Amino acid sequence: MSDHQHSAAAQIPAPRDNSSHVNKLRNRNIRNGLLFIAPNFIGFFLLVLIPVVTLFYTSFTKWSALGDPQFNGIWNWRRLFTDENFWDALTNTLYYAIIHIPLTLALAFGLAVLLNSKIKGRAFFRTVAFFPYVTAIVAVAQVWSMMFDPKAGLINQFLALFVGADNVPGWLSSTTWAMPAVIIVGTWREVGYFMILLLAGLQTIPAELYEAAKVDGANAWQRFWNITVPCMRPTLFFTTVTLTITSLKILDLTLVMTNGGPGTSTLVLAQYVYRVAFERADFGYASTVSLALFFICLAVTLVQFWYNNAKEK
Amino acid sequence: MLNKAMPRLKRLIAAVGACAAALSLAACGSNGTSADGRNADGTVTISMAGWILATRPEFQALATGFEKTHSNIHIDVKEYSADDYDKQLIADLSAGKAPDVFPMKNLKMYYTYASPGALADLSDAAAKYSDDSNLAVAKDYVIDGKTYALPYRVDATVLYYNKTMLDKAGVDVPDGTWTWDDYLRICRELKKKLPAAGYKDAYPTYHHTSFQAIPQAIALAQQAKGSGVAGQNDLFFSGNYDYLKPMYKLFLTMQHEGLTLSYNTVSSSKTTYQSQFGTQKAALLPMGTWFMGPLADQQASGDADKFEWGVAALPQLSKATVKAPVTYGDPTGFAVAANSPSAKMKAAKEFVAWAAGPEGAKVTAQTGSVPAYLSNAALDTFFAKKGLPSDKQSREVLRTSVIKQENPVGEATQVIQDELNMAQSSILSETKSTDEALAKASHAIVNTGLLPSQQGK
Amino acid sequence: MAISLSSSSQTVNSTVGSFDAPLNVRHRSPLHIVGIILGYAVMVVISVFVVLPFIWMVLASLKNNNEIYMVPVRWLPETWHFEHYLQIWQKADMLGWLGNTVFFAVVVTFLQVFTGSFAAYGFSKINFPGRNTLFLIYVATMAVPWQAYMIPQFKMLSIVGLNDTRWSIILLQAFGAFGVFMMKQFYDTIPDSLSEAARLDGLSEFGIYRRIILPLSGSSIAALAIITFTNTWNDYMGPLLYLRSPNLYTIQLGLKTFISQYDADYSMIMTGSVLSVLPILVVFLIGQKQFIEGIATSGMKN
Repeated sequence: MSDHQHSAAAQIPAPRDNSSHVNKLRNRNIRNGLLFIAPNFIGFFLLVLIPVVTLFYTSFTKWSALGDPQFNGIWNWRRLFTDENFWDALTNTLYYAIIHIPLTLALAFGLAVLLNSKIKGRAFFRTVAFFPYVTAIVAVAQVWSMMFDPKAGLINQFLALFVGADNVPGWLSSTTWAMPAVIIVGTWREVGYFMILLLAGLQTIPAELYEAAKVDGANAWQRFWNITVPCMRPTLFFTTVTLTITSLKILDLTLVMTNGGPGTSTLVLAQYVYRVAFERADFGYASTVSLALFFICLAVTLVQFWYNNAKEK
Repeated sequence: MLNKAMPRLKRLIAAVGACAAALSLAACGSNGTSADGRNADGTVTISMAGWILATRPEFQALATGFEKTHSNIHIDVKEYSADDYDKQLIADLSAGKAPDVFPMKNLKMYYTYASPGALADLSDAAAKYSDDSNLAVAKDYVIDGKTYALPYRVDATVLYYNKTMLDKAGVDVPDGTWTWDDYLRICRELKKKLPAAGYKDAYPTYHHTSFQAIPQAIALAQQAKGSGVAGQNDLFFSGNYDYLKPMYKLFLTMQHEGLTLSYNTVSSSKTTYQSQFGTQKAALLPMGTWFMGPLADQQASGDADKFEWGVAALPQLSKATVKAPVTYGDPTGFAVAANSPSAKMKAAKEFVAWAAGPEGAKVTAQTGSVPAYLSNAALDTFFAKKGLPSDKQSREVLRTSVIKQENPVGEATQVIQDELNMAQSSILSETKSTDEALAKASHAIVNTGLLPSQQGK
Repeated sequence: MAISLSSSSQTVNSTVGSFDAPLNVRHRSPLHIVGIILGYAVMVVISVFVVLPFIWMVLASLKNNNEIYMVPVRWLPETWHFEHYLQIWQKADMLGWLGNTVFFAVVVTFLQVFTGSFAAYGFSKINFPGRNTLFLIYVATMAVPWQAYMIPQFKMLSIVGLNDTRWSIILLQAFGAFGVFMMKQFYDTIPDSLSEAARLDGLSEFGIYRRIILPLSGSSIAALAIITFTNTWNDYMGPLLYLRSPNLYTIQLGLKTFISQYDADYSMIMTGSVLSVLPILVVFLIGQKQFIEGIATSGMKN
């Protein structure tokens, strides 16, 4: 991958024909690399990787979490393909992600750029933007349910001014509008979180780059596209991947706001995993569903990695 | 290549391993018990799971009551979550770390716990009560002729009524002979008369449809043939859920006519039945008997309004069953961990049998819960609590009712429950027709291949 | 910077081009000033909208119980119950829960930031074979829902006797892939020329990490710390699964137990929730001070 371009081995002016020197450097890098990674990796390996790998086995078993998993071949996987709830959940999850990801990214990036500038009261506005993320989710669900109330809610009273009281959406009690409502709340809640990540990235862009561009006569728009965006590429990449994964894994919001309803209209994959595991005590099949979710996330992430590397080159 | 890094890595791994070993030794080395779980002085200490220990004395009272007559046994009650109890217990049992005694909070989880051998066989203790009609609900815990838990309390769904409101409106209080048609008629009458009686924003009744059992378990209990479990099993595991249709028709009619809060309002406002009935926003309420004690307490503390109330038998499908009204309700029982050391297991079994019997019933009744052992004496103790209704009907409804299971117990129980729960959401939110939603659930359930007919049982 | 404002709200399109606060601060035309005022007005309105649920939470904590979920909704309490904020300390072991949660959050944040930034340096600045694969494995685990593997994880930690100990929560939270991924990406924005120059000067890898990279990563460490702290603070499922002894309870687990004790005492849960947010805000305010515009890469970069 692209890392080789920047790598020490390629750039240090070492005598190329001296293979023992290259080997020495290589060994030194392996040793140092492993030493730096080890403190985290040991914990990660034992506490995350091993349990995750066990899923690949339990997804082929019948297991209620008690006793030993019983191997049942590809039965769970076959069941997945005819399971209407799974397909409903998959559709809903993709619906959520496709709208939520660009919306949140655009708003968070905009907000981060704005709050990285020298405006008065930026500390105040940064704190405000982070508030939704720390407000108790019960309170979040409650207030938004009140705002989405088809008749008395603030949102429909406002909309009624434009479309008339008979044409306003039913929001959480309608299969068509429940998901948009969830997306609105999800975006509202997470913008501040991703703004923090992006803000930290913006901080690493040296101010003199902007000064130089101004001297060259670049306007704000040009400076944004020619300095901010390229310098932010690693951070944007990280934010996009994280946002993608968290969107595809969305759970707590639908759990509290709609519990997947009405019907299955806001049932998302992670919630289905949760339901199958704990409501149905079917951890074997829950592993299968979560691996399906995993492969979807992985596919999207790999595309993002590939795109990012292509751009960096 | 790794020759330089490897020794260090090995040392590191060894160090981490040593740390983990040291930690595990520190965690389990100190309690000083013998192999069979006996303390050094010959007494036995067993652990027991419970919830809401600070304000509900149920578990501690049972433990203390038992210790009084069993001086060589000590029970150590541990706090578990009330809402997420089963998650904690699944984790505990799967890792073999469960307490010696633990409640079976929801009957629907019972099969999951019992089938892989996580629970000790209590059949010998259950045999003691096999001929005792006071402990009829013990049969709910029988799987393939074996018993893995014994009940200590039971709840049945009854019809609560606010006598003060009904009297003011000039409407008859339920007399225990109502059918659902009568119930609908009375609610319509209340809808007309309540505003004039001064209850402007009150509804005739409140259906707490966040519980799927209302109306699903009512329909199952009342449509099933016979008084035993077999009739319920036939319906529930059939894969055909048409038996739910009449109740849904009734519930939909009632929410259309504004006789109860609609499902959409219930689920979006997260209304509680305590506040709907307790603040006189509803004159009637089909609800479990577990609400009786707390309602009396809330009236005393001022959280609920002061009014006169009582309970009557749940309305029936037809007049044929009003003499022995059919309702549903699940027992709460105690189970014993299969991996407890022998002395602890013996003590634990002794406790579970005691809690299920007349002595345990007395303690349970004193704490404001309905005991599973429904003798006359136990009922006297229960109704002695201040603030509970004192009329004969309220007292007798528990003994005259035929209490069926909320859910038959089997491998498919949880899948069926979850699918029907989603169907309920579609039907009552009126986003799908009853026929369509039930057909979808039925299809999904059959698709899992878990129904007994599919497994050749 | 104008773009940002227009994307955060559709209604301020008129100010595009005039709201250029960070740079051009000297020569302001009247149009600029109008734009700035308009911009602020819009931001204040958005802010109110954003904190509305929090305001509701505060008001609910001052209501009596049955008033909270009343239909139709009433915003202001009939009588103000400020005493809830005194009662909660007596009724619940708030102090103990706060103490435990602070301990967990601080230790986890420290471990996550420390091991995360350390590993990130390895992934970003040292080239060794297999690092991309290893890194991808890290990121891939983020895609697995925790609900699916929490039981196997619980079994493992229980086997070594760590369930119901402080260790369980710390180990559970401290080694996620998130911190490594985040710090690695931030280190990627620091030019490799810096570390390579130092390498030629004979500085050890640890020296480069310590003396060159770490001083440059204040804002990203602050961001990671804020986020890790908040997540540990608000976690409910982890403590629920692992902790059984009341003296180990965290604030979220404690509050949840507390609500069931008082039969859905919603005003108390709101009181507790308001109180539980305050420490996060303190951490946030301290952390965000690290976000100073234009950090000192000047002179090091070419």
